[in-house]
Amino acid sequence: MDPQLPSDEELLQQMLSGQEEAFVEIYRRRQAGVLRFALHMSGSAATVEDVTQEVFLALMRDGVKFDPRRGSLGAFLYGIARNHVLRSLDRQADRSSPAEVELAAPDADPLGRLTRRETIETVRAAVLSLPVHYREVVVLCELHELDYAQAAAALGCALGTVRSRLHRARGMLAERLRGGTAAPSVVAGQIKPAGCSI
Amino acid sequence: MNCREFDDVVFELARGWVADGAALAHTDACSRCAVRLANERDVAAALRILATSSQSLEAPARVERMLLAAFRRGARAQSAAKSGALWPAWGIAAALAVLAVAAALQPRAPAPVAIDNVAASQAVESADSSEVATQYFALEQDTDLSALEGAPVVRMKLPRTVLTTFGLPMNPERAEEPVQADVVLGPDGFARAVRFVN
Repeated sequence: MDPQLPSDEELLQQMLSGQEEAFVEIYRRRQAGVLRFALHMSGSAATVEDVTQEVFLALMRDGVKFDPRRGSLGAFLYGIARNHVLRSLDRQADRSSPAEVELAAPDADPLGRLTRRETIETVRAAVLSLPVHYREVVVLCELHELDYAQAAAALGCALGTVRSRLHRARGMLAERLRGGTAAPSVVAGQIKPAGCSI
Repeated sequence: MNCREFDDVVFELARGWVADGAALAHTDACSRCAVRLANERDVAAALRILATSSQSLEAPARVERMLLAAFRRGARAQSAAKSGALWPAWGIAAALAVLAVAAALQPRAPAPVAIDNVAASQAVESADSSEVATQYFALEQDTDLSALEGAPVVRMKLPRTVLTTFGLPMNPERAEEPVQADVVLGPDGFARAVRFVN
């Protein structure tokens, strides 16, 4: 980030003192990450907009509770988003499968686009098929590139827990991509069983 | 390096986060770990494709507009409120924003009712005899509650943590559950007083 720009924490202080520009800047910096987190966790177009809205309303209401010693503002927002997503998933549990969200596929050739689209859908289905505790570490650490410490702050758990869940989640993901519930795909076709030869 | 040690670094190795010569050398001697590394690389590549596919997603402009309106309402309430009423005002402003959106989406929004006795000083039974309500709390210190007689009241759900701001007890085990509240609106549409209903 440009050192000339105010940090998230500085912007939050300004926002809490009523400066609208600071709120807008935080929103514009962070809304896409929050939205993508909600998308990868829920797969539901309806959920992502609601969650994004709720996260920033919560920031207005509870931003004063943010403690930079416990993690970044980004992790704080992911934590709020996670709570809303989990509630939403509970509500969805009684309903039919989540709505699909259209994603842009920038490839020029139709065959390449189709292949890419199939791959994306397969991987997305594999991630969505993971139990929530494993899904959230995959989404934060793999798709959002948070380090273990940031993910632990967002999830409110120990760093070791993140690491072990991620280890297990990656194994489950490989299983699913190899030909389980989320197969088949170009990616899945490349994955081989890892038998022990020693 | 043995297989157990290889397991500890395989994820970082597959993602290119570390360049561990000993680990790579181990894959030359161990076909199980070589397959493991290849599979991990495939999973990492698949997740990268998914992450890239959603990279350009952003929240619709209407979310920012709605949040900005909520922020402005909160800022107005904040500047009008004296110290103790600051966070309830924010919370209610945020809740009012949610209510406004819900009302826009759902034409069956609760019809406003007129307030009967805003100056009630003790817990009272509300119109529904199964409900018990607290007294009304003014959101601004110099608000004359009796002047609000006949003002519209809307029933809404607020975060349960708001209770503590008014000095009311809150069951921590139910902290995630919203609490029902009757919010009295002034002629400008801003919240003036609130009571909590059980």
